[in-house]
Amino acid sequence: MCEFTVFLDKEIVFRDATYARADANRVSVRDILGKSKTVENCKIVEVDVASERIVLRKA
Amino acid sequence: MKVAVAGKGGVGKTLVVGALAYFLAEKGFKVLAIDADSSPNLALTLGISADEASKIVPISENQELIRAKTETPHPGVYRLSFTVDDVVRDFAVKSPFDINLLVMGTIRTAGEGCTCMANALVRSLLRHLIVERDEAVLMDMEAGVEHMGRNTAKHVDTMLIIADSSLKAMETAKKIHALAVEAGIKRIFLVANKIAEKEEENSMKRFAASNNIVLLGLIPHDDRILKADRKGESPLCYAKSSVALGIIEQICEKLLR
Repeated sequence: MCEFTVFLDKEIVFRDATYARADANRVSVRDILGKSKTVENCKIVEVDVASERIVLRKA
Repeated sequence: MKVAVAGKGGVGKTLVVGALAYFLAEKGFKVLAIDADSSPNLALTLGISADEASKIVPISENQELIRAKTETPHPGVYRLSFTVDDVVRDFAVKSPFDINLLVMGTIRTAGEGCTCMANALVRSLLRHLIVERDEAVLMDMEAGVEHMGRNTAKHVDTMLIIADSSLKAMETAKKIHALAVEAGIKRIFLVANKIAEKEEENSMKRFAASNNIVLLGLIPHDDRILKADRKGESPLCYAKSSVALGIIEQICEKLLR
């Protein structure tokens, strides 16, 4: 389905993400309707399309 | 009422959606028909000409407009409820039978990619769509079972599974039924279509009974429906005199009960 579950250190922080952007020490994610969230002090460590997971880790 | 119509390719999903939309509109419902097939042609069934249909902008090509509607002046706060009026006003086209049509999306060029985003958009809209008692949303699904994996129809309250008497259609119907049950859809019905002989009718009844699926109706084979299709006309023009469409009207009344 290509909508990703976003994890931060094994905890789900966002569902159904269709867009993610890493910028300095923060990651912003957004769903198909435009709802978004910015997670501070972290980085993207894994993007798994088959499992529809984006994994963040504290920076 | 939010209804999804599914089944193997060619069993008559689009006819059933179009006819249900017609009869609901006749009963005074405000109807939103969603063509969730990546090869959309519900417009033709609803009486929209091929030329007009080619100009319909699919909702998947309107994502910026949708995001503009969900944003609010307050950061981090989003408007995620849509009324049927919202969707009809901004994204739908009106058919000659007073039915509002929304087209999900299609593949415009070779190598363009998948229809995941379009499906995701329809699923999200359905999830947040507020449907009043005098409103109905009908969704013409893509053929087969892939949409069940996508959960495009997750937020409907009723699923109609269309099948003809071919083994292939019944096997697909059985699979869709199992997935619909797993998805938690509350009302799931089988509708048999293109029934030409008593033996086919009995076969469908046996299939429904052995798979514990409620059989909502048996639509007979109707040459006039095929003729309308060949001529590029809407079969709804025959609504008052077609036996097949008369059965769909009965199915409509059963759904409302």
